[in-house]
Amino acid sequence: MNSALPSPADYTLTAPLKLLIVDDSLVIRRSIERHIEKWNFASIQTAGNGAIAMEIFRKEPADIVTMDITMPEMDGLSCVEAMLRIKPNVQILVISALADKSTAVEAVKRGAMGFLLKPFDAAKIHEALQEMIEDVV
Amino acid sequence: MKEQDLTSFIHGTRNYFSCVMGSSPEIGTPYLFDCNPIHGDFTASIHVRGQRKGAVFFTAKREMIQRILEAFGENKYDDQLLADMVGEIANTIAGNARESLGDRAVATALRVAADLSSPFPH
Amino acid sequence: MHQQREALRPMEMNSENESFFKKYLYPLLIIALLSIIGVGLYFENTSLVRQIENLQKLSQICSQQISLLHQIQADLSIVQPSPLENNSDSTLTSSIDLKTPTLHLVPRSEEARLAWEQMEKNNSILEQGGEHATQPLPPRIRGESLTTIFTLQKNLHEQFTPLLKTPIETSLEESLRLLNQSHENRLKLKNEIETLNARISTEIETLRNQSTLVHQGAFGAFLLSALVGLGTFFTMVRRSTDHAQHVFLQLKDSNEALTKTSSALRQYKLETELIFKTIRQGLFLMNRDFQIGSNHTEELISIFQTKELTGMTLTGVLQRILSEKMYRTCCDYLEMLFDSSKRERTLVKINPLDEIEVHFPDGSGGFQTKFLCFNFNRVVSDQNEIHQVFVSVRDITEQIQLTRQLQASEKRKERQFLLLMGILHVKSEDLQKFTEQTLQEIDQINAEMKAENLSGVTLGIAQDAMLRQRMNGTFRKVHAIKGNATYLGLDYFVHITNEIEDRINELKNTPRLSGEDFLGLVLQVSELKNALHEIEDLKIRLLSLREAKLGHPVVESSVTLEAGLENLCRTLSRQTDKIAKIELSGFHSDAIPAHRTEIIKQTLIQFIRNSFSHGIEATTERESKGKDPTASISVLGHYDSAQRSYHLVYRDDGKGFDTDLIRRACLNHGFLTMQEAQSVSDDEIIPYIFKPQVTTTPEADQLSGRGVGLDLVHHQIVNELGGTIQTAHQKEAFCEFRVTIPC
Repeated sequence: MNSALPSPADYTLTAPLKLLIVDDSLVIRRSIERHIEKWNFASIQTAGNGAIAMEIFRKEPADIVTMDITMPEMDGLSCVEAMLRIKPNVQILVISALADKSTAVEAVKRGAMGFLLKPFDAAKIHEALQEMIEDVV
Repeated sequence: MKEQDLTSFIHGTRNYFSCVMGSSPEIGTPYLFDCNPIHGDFTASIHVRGQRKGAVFFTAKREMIQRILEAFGENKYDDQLLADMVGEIANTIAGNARESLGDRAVATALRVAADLSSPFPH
Repeated sequence: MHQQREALRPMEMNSENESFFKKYLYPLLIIALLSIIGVGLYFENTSLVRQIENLQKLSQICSQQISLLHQIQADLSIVQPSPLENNSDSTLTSSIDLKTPTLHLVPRSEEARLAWEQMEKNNSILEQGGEHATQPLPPRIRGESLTTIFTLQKNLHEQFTPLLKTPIETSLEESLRLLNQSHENRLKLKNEIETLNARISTEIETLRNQSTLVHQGAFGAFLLSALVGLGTFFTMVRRSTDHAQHVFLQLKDSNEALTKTSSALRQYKLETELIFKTIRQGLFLMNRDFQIGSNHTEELISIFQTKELTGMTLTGVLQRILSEKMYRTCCDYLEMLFDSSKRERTLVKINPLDEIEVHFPDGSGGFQTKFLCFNFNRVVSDQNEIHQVFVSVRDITEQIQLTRQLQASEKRKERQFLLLMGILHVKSEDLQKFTEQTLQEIDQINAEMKAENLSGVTLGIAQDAMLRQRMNGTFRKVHAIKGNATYLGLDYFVHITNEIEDRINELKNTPRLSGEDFLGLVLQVSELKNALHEIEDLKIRLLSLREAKLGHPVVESSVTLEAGLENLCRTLSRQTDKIAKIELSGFHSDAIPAHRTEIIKQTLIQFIRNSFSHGIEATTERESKGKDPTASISVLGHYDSAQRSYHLVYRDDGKGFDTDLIRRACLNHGFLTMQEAQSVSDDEIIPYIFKPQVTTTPEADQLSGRGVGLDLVHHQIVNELGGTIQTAHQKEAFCEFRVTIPC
């Protein structure tokens, strides 16, 4: 089944960027990690809720963050705002299943640079993350 | 619940599998039941609040969830990941359903049952 | 372009300044020089004129000297009477008679002396070179003349001295002698003076010429300088003219360009206007205050359902048609469109107005639901600022409805399976008959639709009439299918035929029909056909299932006509607020000639439907009238073998025909004029129930009441088979149909 996914290996970073993946689902965290494992990120960290994510981010602010919205402890959109206060140029991609239109608008209004609706396939996550990277570089 | 409410979940499920598995699932004929809806190895529930109350269960056999995990590129199939997967699917379908049901109608309170003996571990 | 031109101007001015000095300084210097020369010459000329004037005076003096000399000679030679003699007739001109002693002739020495003094004075002036002259006369004029003149005068003076004494001391003879002596001197003096005068005159002439030249020179210089000045002026003028011309040409060019642009713009404007009028999309520009630009497509007005959009804001429009929450989301979104820190690609993805359900107030307190699709594109300036957003709006209600219909039909298909299960109770032979008949009807409908040759009837009205005729034909056939389906209890087919009838009724109200309007209708008919095929399929499967279960072929008996009619009455009683029992003791279907069974069945089905629709009252109404709540329908039938005809009597105990309603229906459908409707008797009005579209039910219901059932029956029996239908009725008691069908 692995072979069914388009290979992300053809994309490599030109700058050493740090990535933080925030999602309460382990499956999703591992899945995103696999999608970009060959992109040569300087570091990849993951967090299962907003509180852990902030702890990691305070210690080592990432350049790019993927952010779930519905999570225990601290919701994703509060996280987005808190991270932007620490590092205003952080590129945050909000990944959520919340399909009502106001969620996406709210996320971008609060500072997310991109919005990706769950479920997503390989092509969609690659495109969304590459957009984030382009804006940092 | 009305037919339309259920349709949004069916649509969400169909969309989920089309996206993740790359092929549209076969939707079986619906039927009514009074007994315990949990007949799979792993089950997640989505509670619908508001004027129309109810719950939507996502329940699946171990093999089925393993196939889905495979589709995610996963090669580990422990119970934690299987339960996580079921929860994520239910969550996603619930989130998608908000498009038509609105945020007040769908709660994403989640129960994942690892097996029948311990239906709601959280 | 404008800015560029502005930027170039100062540079042009610099280069012009340099050339300006080069071009104007030299002419100015020349003017100055010429002016100096001119002024010099002018002064030179003035001195010449003065010299000339001086010389002219000297010349006059010379002339005076000569005349003085003459005077002296005359004075000395002219003898005047002595003052001592009072002789009054003495003449001055009389010949001098020297011997005449009577005349005391005395030279006028006094005068001569004065003249002589004058001559002496003049001599000194001449010597001086002029009365006020600072210089003596130049030698070329003076020559020896003056010296000679002075010498001669000195000599003359010596000769004249005795004569010039006053009173004269010399005698007349002495005087004359002296005069004669001096004659030579006097002549010489005169000549000399004249020579001098001539020379002075020559000098005057020369000077005059010079003066003219100088004068001309000065004038020329002035003229020249004036010319140079003028030239310079003209050069300047020309320069500025050139510049003006240059500017003018530029203006002309830009004007031409503008004219071209303007005509292009006009063309563009016309095209834009045309596009704005015809394009089926709302297009407009929105500024930072969300105001809708004055240029927008006509469609926008109909999409937003407003007459005037000028000055309105998009948020204002949205507030009216969106829920509060959605409105707030959209406001946030619109603000982000103008926030350049938000990525446009992301904004496109999260567009909340991508497919939005909106509710327009319909004016009667309700709402009209529509679906709109908004697209936003930023208009970015060179400075990367977002001043405007280009907005396009489409009304996608139809699309959405189609999609939903498609989804609904998907659902219906699912339901279809269950509905088709309803056929299980129907005997396969009846089902077979039903599907055969229905397929036949459908084929006929299809043939009618296909048989069109509308090319012959291009006129709108004729085409409309033809389409209506076709529509009514379809209606009759669908209605017949519905009757059969109800008879067999095939609910699904009743449902679907009802939908078709509803659609046809909608079409009837359409002012002008076109072939396109039949599209939905035909699709529904095709759905009916598909369902029939599915029945066939299912039937075969069911049969094989049963056979497999029983281990032998299934033998079924058909539903009798009697049972079918009872079935129909039961169904209709269930579906309405009316209850009827059918009395069939006088009716035996096996007595009907086989080839008339179908038409009799059809006829009775339509009569029963008609009874339920019109004649039979609701149970409550019957109770209030003191009638049995359960209505009674009776059917009598017998075959007249002698006349080879079948007689049928159908009767219900309802309220009878509502003649007023029939009258109104006839009026409404134009079968009768107002006058006719009033004059026609109740008995005469009843046969109109067999006219197409005459319905006596105020509102069409699910059972019948669409005025086609009886129309169909009448058409078949009377027109096709040559039979008769008679009616009888009594108000509030019964209505009766008597049918005769030739066999």
